[in-house]
Amino acid sequence: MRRNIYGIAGSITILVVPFFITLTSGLEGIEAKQSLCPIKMATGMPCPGCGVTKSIMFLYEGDFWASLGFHLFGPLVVVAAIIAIVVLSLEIYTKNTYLNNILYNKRLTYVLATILTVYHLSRLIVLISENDFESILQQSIWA
Amino acid sequence: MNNPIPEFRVNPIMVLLLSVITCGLYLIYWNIKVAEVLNEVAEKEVISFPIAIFSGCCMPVNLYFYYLAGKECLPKVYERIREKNKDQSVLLLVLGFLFPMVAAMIVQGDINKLYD
Repeated sequence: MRRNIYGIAGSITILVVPFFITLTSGLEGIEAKQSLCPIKMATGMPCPGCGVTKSIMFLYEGDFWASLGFHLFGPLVVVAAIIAIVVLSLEIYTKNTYLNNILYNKRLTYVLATILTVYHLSRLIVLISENDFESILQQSIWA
Repeated sequence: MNNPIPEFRVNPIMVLLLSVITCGLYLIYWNIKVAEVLNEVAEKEVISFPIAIFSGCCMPVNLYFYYLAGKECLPKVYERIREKNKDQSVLLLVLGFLFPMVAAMIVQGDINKLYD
């Protein structure tokens, strides 16, 4: 029960935080803003999750392609968060469990993990090939 | 669920180094493997695999992962290795927010004790 509530709270946070950032800061110059990701701050290189918040912000603005450009998984995260809110609420209401065969499916896990890994690797390759060391370091806190 | 605990013994320093060197990619693999071990130790499905994957790429999910590990799984690990029980959930939540690699090192350190 408590796990479900935390799950719902986390999912709502995922959906609401980009919304409020869009409301308060807008999308202008968002690409250049300092990320709060510990890996990006330390190395200047993105982590597998860097860009998800920006992706969701552009999705809220209705720019689907820009959203995909920031992170392939951004729209998927929104869909997953909405499904999580519905399923976890249903579980509280009916005191039953749903979708366990999908949530604990190893094959699906490894497929998703492989897609994310390949996507992140290709992002890193593009970043390194298009930027020099100094401009990558500019993204970190050492610049 | 009386399967043997999957072996996943890694030096915590290596977890830190590999996470930084691979720009976080290693943490996706690490999250999945740790979820397998912790679910087996807890003898129930505590951390689902989508949680394990998304915790490598989405901040609140990351916090949820460490909360579940600290609150529901690590106490079972301490029980199994006959160590004094402690609730690490708050510490792991804070570290998971600021330094996820350090939170991972703590969890890995405790998991390694299972194989001593």
